[in-house]
Amino acid sequence: MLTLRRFQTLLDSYGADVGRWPEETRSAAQALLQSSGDARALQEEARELDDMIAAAGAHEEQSRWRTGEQDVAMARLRARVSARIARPTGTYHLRWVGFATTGAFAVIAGLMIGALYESGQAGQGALAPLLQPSAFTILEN
Amino acid sequence: VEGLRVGDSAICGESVASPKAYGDAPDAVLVGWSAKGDRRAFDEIVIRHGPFALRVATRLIPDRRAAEDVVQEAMVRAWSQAAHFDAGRARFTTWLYRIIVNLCIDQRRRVQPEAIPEHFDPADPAAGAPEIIEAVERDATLAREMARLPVRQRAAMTLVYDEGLSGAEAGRVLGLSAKAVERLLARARAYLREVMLPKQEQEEIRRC
Repeated sequence: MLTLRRFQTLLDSYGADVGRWPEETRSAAQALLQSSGDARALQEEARELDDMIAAAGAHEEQSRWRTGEQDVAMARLRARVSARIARPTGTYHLRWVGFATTGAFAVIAGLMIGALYESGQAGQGALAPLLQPSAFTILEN
Repeated sequence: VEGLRVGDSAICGESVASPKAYGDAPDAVLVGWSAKGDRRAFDEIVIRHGPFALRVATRLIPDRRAAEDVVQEAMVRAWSQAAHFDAGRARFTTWLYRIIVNLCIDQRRRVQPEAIPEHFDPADPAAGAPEIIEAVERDATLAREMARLPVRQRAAMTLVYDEGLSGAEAGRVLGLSAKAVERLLARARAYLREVMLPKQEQEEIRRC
């Protein structure tokens, strides 16, 4: 059972074409249309706006796509997509090789700094000159 | 029908040179092949869904060149995310619509669309009766107003009115409930009614 109020709400959203409405409301809407003159009047009113929207859509379509232009746009789209999807495999892998190399360098650099720090702390070893005058010494004083 | 394309898979970098009926294959199968690197399968998807993608994008983004770029980007994303497509969860078209519409929404948020000029495709006075000219001008005015709608309202209208999706399907594309789509549609129609019907009524009064 569909109330006239709900019918109006659905009209205000989906327009006069009941085929566009949520499936579970369609048969109730048809029944209401058969029994209620008010419902039919509301539908007619909504149809007026529907027709205007459809005409404006068609006009917009025609203005945007002149004859043959859509075919040209499609050909362009196929060519460009095809070129782009052919490219990524290589660049994608290269990008990961780049990331991996940078990461490996970062890890090695981190280990070296750690080693320098350790040897500096443990008796001012062979690497000690590299650390002097170091922040560690300054901080210790 | 595209028919069998024996050996195309080899051109496309596939290791198994099996014959494939690209033209007959359902979308989900083409996406599966695409996920394995079959570019010919993906080209079939572009052929099949490119026209609707262009149609939807040009309705949401008035600048046609920008709309074409968005569709191109959407297709490349669909290719790179093909392995994540789950045919059990969504139809391919819903999945592709979602990519396209989201990119259009992002694009519209980044760039304010250029308003369609006042004399966008004016009626040619030599073309016919004054009624025809009036109708063409009215359509142009409404097209301008439709382009001014917030992008989500416009997207809901495009999906439900032009592409024939149900409210629930449009909701899945937009990441909204069916009720929310209903509200977007209602707001869009209310605006268009307010803008258009009084003008038409005024014209009728003037004619009388």
